[in-house]
Amino acid sequence: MTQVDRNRLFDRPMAPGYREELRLLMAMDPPRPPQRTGSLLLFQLGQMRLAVPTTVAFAVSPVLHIARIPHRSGTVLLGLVAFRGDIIPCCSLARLLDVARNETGAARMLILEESAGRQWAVPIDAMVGIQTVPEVEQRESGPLARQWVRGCFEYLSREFYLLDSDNLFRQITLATA
Amino acid sequence: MSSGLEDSSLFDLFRMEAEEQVRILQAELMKLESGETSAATLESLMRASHSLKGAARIVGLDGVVRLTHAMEDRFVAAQGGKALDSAEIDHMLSATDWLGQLQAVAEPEVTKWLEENGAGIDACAAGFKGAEPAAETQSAGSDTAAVDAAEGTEAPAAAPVEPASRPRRERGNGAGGGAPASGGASVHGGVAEPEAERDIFAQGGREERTVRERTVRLAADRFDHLLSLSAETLVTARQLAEWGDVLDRNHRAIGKALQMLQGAGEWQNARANVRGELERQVAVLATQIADLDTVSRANERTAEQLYRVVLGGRLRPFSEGITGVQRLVRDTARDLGKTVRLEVVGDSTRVDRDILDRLEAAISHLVTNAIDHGIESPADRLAAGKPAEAHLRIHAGHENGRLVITVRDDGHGIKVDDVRERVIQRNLAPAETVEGLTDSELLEFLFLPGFSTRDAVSHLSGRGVGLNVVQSMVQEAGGSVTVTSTPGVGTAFRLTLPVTRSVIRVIRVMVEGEMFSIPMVRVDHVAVLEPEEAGDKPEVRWGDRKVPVILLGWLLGFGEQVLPKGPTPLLFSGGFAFAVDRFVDQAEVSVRRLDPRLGKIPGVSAASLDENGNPLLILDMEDLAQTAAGVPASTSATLEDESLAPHILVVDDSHTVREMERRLLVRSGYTVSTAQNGQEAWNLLRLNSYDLLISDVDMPQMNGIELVTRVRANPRLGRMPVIILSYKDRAEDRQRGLDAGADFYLTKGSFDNGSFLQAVVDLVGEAAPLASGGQA
Repeated sequence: MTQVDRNRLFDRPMAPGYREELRLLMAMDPPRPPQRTGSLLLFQLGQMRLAVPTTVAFAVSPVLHIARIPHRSGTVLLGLVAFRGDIIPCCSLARLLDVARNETGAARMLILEESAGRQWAVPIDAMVGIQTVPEVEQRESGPLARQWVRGCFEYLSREFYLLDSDNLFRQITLATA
Repeated sequence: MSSGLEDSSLFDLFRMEAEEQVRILQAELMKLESGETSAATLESLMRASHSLKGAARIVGLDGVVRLTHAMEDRFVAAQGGKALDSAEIDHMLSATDWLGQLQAVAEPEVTKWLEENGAGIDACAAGFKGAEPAAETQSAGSDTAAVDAAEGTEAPAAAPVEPASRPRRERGNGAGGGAPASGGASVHGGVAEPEAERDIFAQGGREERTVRERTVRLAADRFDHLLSLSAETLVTARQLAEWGDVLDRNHRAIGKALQMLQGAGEWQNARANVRGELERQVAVLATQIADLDTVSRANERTAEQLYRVVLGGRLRPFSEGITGVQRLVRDTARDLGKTVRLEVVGDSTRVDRDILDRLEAAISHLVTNAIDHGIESPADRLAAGKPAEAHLRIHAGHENGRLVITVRDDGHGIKVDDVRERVIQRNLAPAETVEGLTDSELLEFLFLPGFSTRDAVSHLSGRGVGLNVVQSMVQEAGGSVTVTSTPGVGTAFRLTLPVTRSVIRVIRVMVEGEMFSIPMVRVDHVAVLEPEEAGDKPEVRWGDRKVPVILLGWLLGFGEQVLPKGPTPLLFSGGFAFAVDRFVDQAEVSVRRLDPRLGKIPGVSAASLDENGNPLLILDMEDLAQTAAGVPASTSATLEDESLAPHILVVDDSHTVREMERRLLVRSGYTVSTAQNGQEAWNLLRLNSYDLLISDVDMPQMNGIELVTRVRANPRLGRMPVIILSYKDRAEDRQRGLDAGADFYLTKGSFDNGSFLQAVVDLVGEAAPLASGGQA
C-alpha cells in the first residue's frame, strides 16, 4: 500500500449516516450470554427424565445389594447398601416423587451426597449423561409437584426436570427418619 | 422420627434458633444496606424477627421479646413503605449484635447477663422509629407487658442511640459477638503436648516411655472411620488365611487322587500321562500355597498391627471412666458415718471409649452398695477385730484379651441364708429347688430386678434396682458380671468386658432371605429341634426346661409367617429359642456404628460388611428377648400394632416452638413427628398415618391455612382432627382457620399447657404417659 492509498483510506470523508448508525449500535445492550445451570446429571426414572446438579451426584454404580432393615424398610426407605466400604441408606426416589417404575430391577444406583459423608443411594432406571444446559424454564404445571422441581429443559428433544436438591434431601430425611 | 434435639434444654433450642435467625437478619440487612430492597428481603427480615420473638417468649427472655417485637414492627412498617435509612439499618445490626452476644452466654449465666445488659437491650428496642405494631401480637402475660403497651400505638419517636444500646463487641469476633475469650494459658501458648501414655496395645508391653509425642488432632468421626477400615483389613487378612487353608485341602485331595492312580491297569500309558501332569500341577500348587501362606501371614501381621495401633488411639485410661467415684465414696461414707479408704489399682488400664462411657454408672452403683450394704460401721468393725477404716478396692486389668474390673470390699459379706429366705418368700423358685442351689447360684438372684435383701428403702439402696442396672449396663457392653462373697471377709463383684467392641465373633443366620449376624456372646446354644405345640405358643424342650419358640423373622417385622413343621434351626438366647431359616456359619466381623440418620432400630445393634462387601446387620439379642418377653409368642399381629399411642404431627417453622410442643406431647405419652412447614407436613401426611395434625399458620413454602385446606380436601385425610396454634389471634384470623377446617384454634400468646393438652385429649383421647422416649 502506497502513502497515497493510505491517505485515501483514512482521510476519506465519513459516509452519510455513519455517526447515527454508530450511536444506535452503542446504545444497544449487548446480547446477554446464556445463563447456565452448571453441570447436571441426567437420568431416567420410570418414564420420567430427571436431572440433579453434579455437585450432589456423588457416583453412579451398578446395582447394589439392598439389605432390608427390620421395622424400617418400607415406603421410601428401602434398606442399606454398601458403597465403597461405607454403609449408606437406600431410598426409593420413585416412591418419594410418586413416579411409577418397574421396581423389580434397578438398572443403576445413583449415590447422592447431601453433604460430606452424608450420602443416600437411590435406584434409577438409566443414566442418560452429564450435561451443562442453558437456564431452566419455570413451569406452572407438570407431571411432578412444583415443590420437587427447579425447572425443566429440553435435551435431545426430550423434556427433563431439574430436581430441587435442597428440598429433595429435606424430604428424603423426613420420609426415612 | 428423631429430631436429635431431645436432650437439649429449651435455652439450647433458643440459642440454635437465634443463631440461624441472626444470620438471616444480618445477611438480609446487608442486602438492604446495599440497596437491594425487595419484598422478599423485608418478608424474610420480618419473619426472622417474628420467629425470634416467639422463641424468646417461650424461654422467658422478656427483653429479647421486646427487642424483636420492635424490630418486627419496624420491618412491617418498611413493608408498608416506610423505608429503613442507613442509620436505622445500623441500629438493626446493633440489635442483632445483642442477640448474637446472648447466644454466646452459657445458660446459667443468662440471668446475670440480662441484669447487666437489660437496660442496653431495652434502649436498643426503644430506638426503633416509624414502626407499626405487629397485628397478631396480643397480651401474653406480664413478660410481654412492653410489647402489649406497643399495641395500637406508634412506637416511640426515634430515640438517639445511646452508647448503652450498642453491645460491646470483641475485636476479631464475627457477627454475633461470640463468646469471650477464655482465660486459659493454652490460648496463647500453642497446643500443649500431652505426656505419652503407656499403651499396652501400641507398645506390646514395652516400658512406659518418657518421651513426649507429637500430637495430631483428628475428628472423632474420621478416627472411627479409620478404625472401621483397619478392622475391615484385619478381617479380610484372616479370610485370606482361610482361603489358603481351602487351597491346601485341594492340594491334599489331588495328592490322594494321585495315589489312587498308582495301581496297575490296562490304560497304563494314559494313566502315566495324567499322573505326570497332575504331579506337575501339585508341585505348582504347593509352591503357590506356600507363597500365599507367607503373604497371608505377613498381611495378617500388618493388619493386626495396624488395627492395634488405630485401636490404641481409641482406648482411654480406666481412670477417665471413674472420675467421680472418689468423691462418691467420700460423700457416701460420710453420710453413713463410715470410714472408707478407696484404692484404685490399674487406673492406667486402657479401655475402649464406648465401654468406658458405660462404666462409671455401673461402678458407682457397686461402690454405693458396698458402702451401704457390705461395709460395717467403725464400731462394728472394731468389734469384729477389723480396722475401723474399711478398704474398698477397685482393680482394673486385662485378662485373656478381656477387660476385668473387680470391686471388692472387706465388709461382712452377703448372708446367703438371707438371700435364700428372700427367694422363697418372693416365690422366685420352689423351696426344694432353692435348698439345692449352690451359694454362687443363689447370689445370682441379687441381679434380678426388684430383688433386695433389705426390708427398708433408703435414699441410697434397698429398692433392688442397682445390681440389675449394673448387670444391664455390663451386658449392653457385651460383658458379664458375677459376685462372690465370704462371710466376715467381704464381697467382690467381677465385671468381665470386651477390651473393644470393634471386632466380634458372630453366628450368621438367614431370616426371610436376609442374612443377619448374632454376637456369639449372646448365644447360649444352637440346635435343630422340632418345636412342640403348647396351645398357641410353640415351645421346645432344652435340658429340663421348656423354652418358648419365637420366629425371628416375625420379631424383626418381616411380615406374618408360620413356624414350619418339623426340625427347625433354633438359636437359644435370653430364655427364648429364636427360629431362623438356616444357620450360615461363624465369622469374625468388624462392628460399624449404624447410620445415625436411621435412629434406633428395634432389635439391631450395629452393622457390618460380609465378605462380598454387602451390608450385614448385627442383631441386638437383649432387645429382641425383651420384645419377645413382652408380646405373645406366635401371633399374627405385627409389632407396629403394639404402638397404640396416637401419632401426632406437629408443624411449626420455629424449632423452639416445635420442640416445646413435641416434649409436652411425648411426656403425655403421644407419639410425635414434626415438620417445619406446610409442604413438609403435606409430604409426611401423604406417606404416613397420623391421628392428629397441629399446625402453625405463618410458615414458608406452604402456610397452615393452605395445609389444612388440602387435608380437608383429601379423601383419606379429610376426617383427621386438626388444631391450629398461631400467634395470630384476631377474630378474623381465628375465623379463617376454622373456615379452613380446623377443629380447634389456639393462640400462642395465651398458650397454656393444660388447655393445649385438653384440646388434644378431646380430639384423639388420652395416651398412657411415658417415663421417657416417644418418637419425634
